[in-house]
Amino acid sequence: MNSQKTQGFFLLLVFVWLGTFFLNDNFAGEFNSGNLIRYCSMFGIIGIGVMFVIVTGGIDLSIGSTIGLIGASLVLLLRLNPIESLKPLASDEQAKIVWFFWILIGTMVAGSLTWLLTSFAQKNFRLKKLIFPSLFLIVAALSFNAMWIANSDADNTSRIPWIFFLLFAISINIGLLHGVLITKFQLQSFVVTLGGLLCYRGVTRWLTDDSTQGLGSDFENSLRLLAKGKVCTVSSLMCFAGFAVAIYFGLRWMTRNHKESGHRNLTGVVLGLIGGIIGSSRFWNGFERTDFQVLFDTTIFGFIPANFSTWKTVVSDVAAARPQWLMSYAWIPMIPIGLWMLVRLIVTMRNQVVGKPSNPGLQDDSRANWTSQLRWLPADFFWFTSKREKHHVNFLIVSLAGLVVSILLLRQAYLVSEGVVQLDVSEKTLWGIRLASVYASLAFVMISIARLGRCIERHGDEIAKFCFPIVGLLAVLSVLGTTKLPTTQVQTPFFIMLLLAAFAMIIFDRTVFGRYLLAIGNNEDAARFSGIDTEEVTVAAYVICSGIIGIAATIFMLESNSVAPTGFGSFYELYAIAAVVLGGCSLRGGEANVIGVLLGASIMRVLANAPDMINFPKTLEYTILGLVIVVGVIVDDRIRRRSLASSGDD
Amino acid sequence: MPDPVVLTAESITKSFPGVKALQEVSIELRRGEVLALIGENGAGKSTLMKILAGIQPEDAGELTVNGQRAAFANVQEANEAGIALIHQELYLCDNLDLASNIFLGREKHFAGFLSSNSIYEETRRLLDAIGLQESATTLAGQLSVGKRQMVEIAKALSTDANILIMDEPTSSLSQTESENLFRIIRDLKSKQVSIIYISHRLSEVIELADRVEVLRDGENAGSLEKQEVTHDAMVQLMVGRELSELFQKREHTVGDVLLSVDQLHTEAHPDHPLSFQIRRGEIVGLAGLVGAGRTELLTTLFGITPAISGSVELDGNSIEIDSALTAVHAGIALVPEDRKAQGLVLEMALQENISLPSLDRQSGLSSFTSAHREATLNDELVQKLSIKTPSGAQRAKFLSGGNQQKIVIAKWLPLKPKLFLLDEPTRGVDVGAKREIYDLIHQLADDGATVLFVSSEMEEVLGLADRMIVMHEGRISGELDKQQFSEEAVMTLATGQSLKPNCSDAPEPVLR
Repeated sequence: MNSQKTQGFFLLLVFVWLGTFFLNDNFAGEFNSGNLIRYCSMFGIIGIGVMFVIVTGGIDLSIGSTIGLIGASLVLLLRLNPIESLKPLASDEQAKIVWFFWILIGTMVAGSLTWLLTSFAQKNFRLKKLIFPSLFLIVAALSFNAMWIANSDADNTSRIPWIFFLLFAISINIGLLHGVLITKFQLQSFVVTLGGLLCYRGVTRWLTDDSTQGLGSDFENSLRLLAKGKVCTVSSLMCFAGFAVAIYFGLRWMTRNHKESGHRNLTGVVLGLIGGIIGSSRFWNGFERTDFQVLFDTTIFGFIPANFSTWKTVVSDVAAARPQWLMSYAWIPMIPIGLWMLVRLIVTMRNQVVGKPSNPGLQDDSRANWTSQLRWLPADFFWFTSKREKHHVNFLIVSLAGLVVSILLLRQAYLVSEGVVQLDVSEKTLWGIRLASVYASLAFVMISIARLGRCIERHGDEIAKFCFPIVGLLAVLSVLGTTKLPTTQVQTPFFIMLLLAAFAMIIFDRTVFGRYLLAIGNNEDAARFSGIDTEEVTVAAYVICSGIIGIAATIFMLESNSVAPTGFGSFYELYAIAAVVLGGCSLRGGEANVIGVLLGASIMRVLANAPDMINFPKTLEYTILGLVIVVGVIVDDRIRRRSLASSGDD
Repeated sequence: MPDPVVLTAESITKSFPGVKALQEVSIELRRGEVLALIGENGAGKSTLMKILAGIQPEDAGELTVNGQRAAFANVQEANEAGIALIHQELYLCDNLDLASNIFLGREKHFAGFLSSNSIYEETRRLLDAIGLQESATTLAGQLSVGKRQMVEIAKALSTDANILIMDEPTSSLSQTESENLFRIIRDLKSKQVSIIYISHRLSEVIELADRVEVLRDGENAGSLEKQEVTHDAMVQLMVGRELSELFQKREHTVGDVLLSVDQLHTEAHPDHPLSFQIRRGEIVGLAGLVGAGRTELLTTLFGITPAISGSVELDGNSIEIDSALTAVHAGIALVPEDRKAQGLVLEMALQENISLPSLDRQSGLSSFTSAHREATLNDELVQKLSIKTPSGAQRAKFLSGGNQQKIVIAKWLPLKPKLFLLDEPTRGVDVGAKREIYDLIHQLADDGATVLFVSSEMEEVLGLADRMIVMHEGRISGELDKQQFSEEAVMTLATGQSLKPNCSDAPEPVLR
């Protein structure tokens, strides 16, 4: 079900990415791709955070301001006692900030202590009720220690982990505050977090005296690697992911009854192996050199022994180019496999027309049928989902012809945009022609592929179904081979996002707590009538949300290296909410879709980046985003309804 | 010569996902008559009325109003054809005054600006006509339930409807208010207004109706002319079988006192403390009219709306129920009145619904869910309760009412509660499933659980309960033992009178 929801947005992402790439090679270049992946990951993280709250039917508007507050606090706390060349604070400023944090920590301690005592005093005391408040008390007490160390003259190696801890503690307490106001005081989450939005922004401006805070260049090769450190290339990721997929489907293929799932598991194994082998080519001449080791050497992970140098070797230029080189030959195996797939498809479709495949007596008659369909061809051309599904011959012809024609068109559009084909028109007109022709022919290509896929899904035999994804992967690889994407360095936020996504998926799919979140979002009354402590679960959702936002805030801060008190993080709450909505989660609650949220965040970043790349007016960025959100959700809703209607009868 | 027919419905068919609500139902209504429409819950009365009033479209069939084919797309069109429905549930906006409520959607205005004088005058006239002593500027939220019902009637009259549909109008009215309503109905009748009157109170039907149309399981079960209308004839048609067929007499071994409630002040009726006792293995019916505080009593016992004061003793232990969580831990289970809103998470799978209350116990300390454990539990309960579903992964909203109700009961079974609180356990459930739910309730009692159930269906309380507690306006007006069970006794207590001495052959009921 989840895959169905996200299909449309995935195709949109592919469409925009490919179109922009055809118009400007730099879009898929190493620099831009690296940035794009980083931004997608960071916005994906805050999307996952706010999803926890949206699943319960609530909303968190204070995300942007929380990011501002935590980001600014990070700089201010580092500046309390700068060891390196970071500018120290003026003494009156220092006093203000130190007092502010002491009071904040004091409130945290007092709050969690009160909570603990009131849970003791409750009429129906149960030990379980103490877990939450005592955790918060421990966190508050440790924050005490953290502030002590942050304000001491210890060196940064011991201060920084405690500063991070303090920031995390503050952010989860912000979530706790929201949760308590919403459940105990019965306030609407919109109101509470709207108050938070204004409040935290104000605190940030007061703390910083409205002046921009920066880290300078001191942490360039240490702390900031948490946000910009290059960990590994896309192709090495592809290697690991490919082999993991192959192993997963291989195990399934061995353990399950494969009559039920057909060749799906085998297809998975083959796809994984192709990806894994091509990706691994990156390592054939030795391991790649990245910021990987430096990252582990930084202050935070200082306790991990850093003796990687024994197995780390520098990849030569030849090896670095190998993935692209291999990929550029992916079209060679693609042709025979593709042809074999088409042959199988046509044979099975022909047999289906005949009805009884092995009855020679009917052959002539059936040929008449087979060709008589052709007179509907012009009409069938316009059917995409084909109410005239029975004319599958026409469907096939239309898909194949469309594919060939549209690829030729796309090639022509590409040549125009590359300047190979000269047109005698003005600059502006040429720009318009390039834009329109590339996107239109690309849309045509994708529609044709979708038609072909549908045709195979409906009428193809096992072999055709087995070949289709392989041909698709080879096609994708041969396109990727012409870009710099495989050698693009993926940076740290991506991996933090992966961890958080796995965390969220496990919570929602596998834990009791996640089930309760979904139940509350769907029908809070039913959850309460089932004896679930809905208040506690709701509070926990806000705590997790703010905790993730706290993590994101430090990444955003380290990424940009400076915090402008009024602007840093503003509107991020809306980006996060938009990512969740685009990801197919209803704002009414009860739906969680981690992959969808990540896709939603990616679409927004790609759409923000694309106009720059194709000389589209940058000022229209928000307009495009707004239109995509509204139109995307309408289309998504329509598609879902249609698929529900067609599957509801069984 | 009979009066001309103003409305006919012919072969109306309507089905909802999983249920066939109406099958080829036909009725006709003559001018100036009161047609009583009766039938058990789930017989399709409300659905038929919603079709007549344009709230829902019919799947098949033909409506004729005043000799013209009619197909109403919405309520507005039905109103224009002269049909007005008075809802069982009250749809009044508490924040608006009576006049604004009555003319909601038909405001008199000039270029979008309200011209209020005329509607207040009109409202005053309407309120006088129905004998409601309230100002047109009173806020609807300040009125009692009975008076709000009267406002609904005024609202219907204000549309100049010549066909009025009343859906259980007396279910929340006191005796005097009901008398008043009957007077209005007779008055309307003399003005040639035709009325379709839906009621569960057979005595009212005998008093008012010119003709009775009976529905059963979504089909016409028969109709009775004025002279044929008797209590027995109606029950015969409604039930279509002997009561004994549906209700088996089963004896349960009754043990010591399990639940003892003393001076319990509920939030809904803080002035009337409630005290009663229930013994182990007993099936106790809680009877009374709508609004008598029965549901509130159950939700208080379950901790949804914690009690203001009073003590509850379960199994000898005094417990303080401040939340549903405590109630569940103490061994109480509630099957709520509205299963869709309170009992089920409709978007979730059947097996997820079933495991919801027991999930944290199933998973133990790990707090991870296990698809295997859930499926096992699901299969076991689906088989035990014979829930009809393609698989445990089916979403709860796609199941029929009876199966949904079984899920709401089934989800408590793994916890083995001592006390089951059932609120209208068979509302909107077809007869077959009803039978199975009754069996299940008996089974629960046999297994040593105790059942306290609320039901508005007289037959159900009489047939299922071992003992009966009757409530009226928030207080317990009496308790009846099995020997004292009779419809009259229940109605007398439920309307707040004490039992008359003329049933002296039965022992004096315990009055509190």
